[in-house]
Amino acid sequence: MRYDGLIAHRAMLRDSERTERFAKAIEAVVRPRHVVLDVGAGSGILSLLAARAGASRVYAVERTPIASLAADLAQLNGYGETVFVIQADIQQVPPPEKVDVIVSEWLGAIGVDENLLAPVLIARDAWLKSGGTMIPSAVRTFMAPAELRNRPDAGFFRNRPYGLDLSPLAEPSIHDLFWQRRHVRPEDLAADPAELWSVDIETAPLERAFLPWRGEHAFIFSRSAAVNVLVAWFEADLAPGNTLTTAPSAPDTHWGQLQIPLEEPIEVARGDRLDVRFATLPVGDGPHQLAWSVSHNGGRWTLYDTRALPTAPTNGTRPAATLATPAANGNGAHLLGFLAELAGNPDALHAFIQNPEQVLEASGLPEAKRAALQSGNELQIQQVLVTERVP
Amino acid sequence: MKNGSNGNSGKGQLIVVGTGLRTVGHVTAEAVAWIRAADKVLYVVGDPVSEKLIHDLNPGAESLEVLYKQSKARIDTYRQMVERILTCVRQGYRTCAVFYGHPGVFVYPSHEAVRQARIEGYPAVMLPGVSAEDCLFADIGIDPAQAGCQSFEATDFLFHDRRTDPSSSLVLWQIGVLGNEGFNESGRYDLSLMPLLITKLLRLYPPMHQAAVYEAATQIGCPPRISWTPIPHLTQVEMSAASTLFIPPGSAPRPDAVVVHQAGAFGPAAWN
Repeated sequence: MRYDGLIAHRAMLRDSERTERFAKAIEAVVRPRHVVLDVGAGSGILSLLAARAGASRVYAVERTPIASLAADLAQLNGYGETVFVIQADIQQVPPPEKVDVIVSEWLGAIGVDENLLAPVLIARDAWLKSGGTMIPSAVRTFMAPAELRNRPDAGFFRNRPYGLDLSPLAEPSIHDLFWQRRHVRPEDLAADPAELWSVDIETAPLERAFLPWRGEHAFIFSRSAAVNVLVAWFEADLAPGNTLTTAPSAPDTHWGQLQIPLEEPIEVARGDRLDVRFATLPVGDGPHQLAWSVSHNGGRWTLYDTRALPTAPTNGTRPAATLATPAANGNGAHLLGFLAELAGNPDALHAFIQNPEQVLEASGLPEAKRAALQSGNELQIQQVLVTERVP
Repeated sequence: MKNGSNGNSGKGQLIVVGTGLRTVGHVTAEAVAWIRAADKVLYVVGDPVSEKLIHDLNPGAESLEVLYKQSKARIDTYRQMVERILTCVRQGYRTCAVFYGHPGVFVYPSHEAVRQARIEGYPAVMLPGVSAEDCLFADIGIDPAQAGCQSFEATDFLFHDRRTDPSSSLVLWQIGVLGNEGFNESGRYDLSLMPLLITKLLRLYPPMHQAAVYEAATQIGCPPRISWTPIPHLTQVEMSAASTLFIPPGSAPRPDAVVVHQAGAFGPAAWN
């Protein structure tokens, strides 16, 4: 989600369940003369609430240009002398003073998945007084399998709709389905929810924010169903007795629930078991990538991984090397011998550096081997060499 | 030259040479000459081009890689390599031991074989080769003269309280086998200690300081692999046994005020 425009902020501000729970938490925690830091302040709503609760100073740190809106709203509401809006990355702002409370709404649909925990922990380590308070103080992630009616799935594109082969769209559509947020009803869940993991914001070390989150559970079904999604959500402890939850049984929020698709529905009966493994993987600066796998009644595992989908962003790392299976070599000249000649004969290397095309043309190497050498790709070269290796 | 009764040169001798990181262009003319002239060539090179070159130059060459075995402690393998090299020297052979890269950089058996051969009275020399650090300086484009450069083996760095200066460059060798003692044929190692290393580095550098996971090119015409990433993201970068971590300086050096004062040059002008 982009946070530098108004669309996202309007949706969040209209989410009264979210905003009012944060307001109550701030009222319960912030005392007169408290100094407050709002990390990723966005429109500045939480900063205004902190100022209204009596904070003597509120630092609203926001890295996108929406910070100007936060400054305008602070002036408009009479908190221009209390709320200090700083447009910057939190890690680049030296703390002007230690703060009593850090408030931040950094939560994604399942809590940690928007990759925004790290700035909060960086701020905690640099800004928070000993004994200070974090809002939220803990976040947990839950999951349950569900049957959602009229839900599009990848099967649509596999079954020749309109008499045409649209199958290349099947895999990417799994990725797209994440964004079809809608509120899941409690009766859609086919088994009791399970907590996958939790994070204590007050004590988690910074590096935890950069590691994958993994959870697994064996769901036992209380009824028959055609399970076509795994539904996930979060709970956030904002203050004692004040927990914001996006569970299907809770009031609707702008987050809805994350619907993690299965390629084909799994027909389950009462008492059946569905083993689920789920991981959310921080990759680069954007939202997490997801990987999940399911096994019905101990059967084979079906694996899903958004990193493998064409629309998934890459993290810039190279793919794992997969060397060709050694096979009988053709009759052509050996690349191995050619390279060994270059290595051991300075005149040959000189000629190659001077005019590689001509030397390769005269080498007698088959076209495929010449192309591999000219590719600039080590894996391609190694794939040829491994077939020619000295026994 | 071969005048011994069993094809040796009479009195044993040891020459240790390297093939460089990328054999084509890195192996020196002197190394080629010694491989060709030796009675016995023993090698640990790991890449087929070097292996082919060595066999072309000296058809009787013998690989020591067969001594590696899955999950066997490296030190045991290295001791066996040393013993095999010294056996040839003791038998009166002019022995050339060939190692990948620089034969004296992160190569225990080469140094140990030279040391033991000399103790036993045999002439023994090591010739320099091109190391990963040489390639790193060229590929990443840093000059260690500018801010200094500290090098450590990654596991050694993790487990020891090394006095690291974050205003200098830091090179951590063998980052891709952090915490692993043995050899793994799959090339994939358990990197579960990486978060501890990250935590340690974050005590020295700003939270999102960029580091590079570096692998030199091993084939002519191919680029090196350089993955820049914030230190906390190191767990997400694919690494191999050939990976080296490079961390540029994270802060400016602090003048040694005592020395500056003693030199009578205290003040900003001294640093301009």
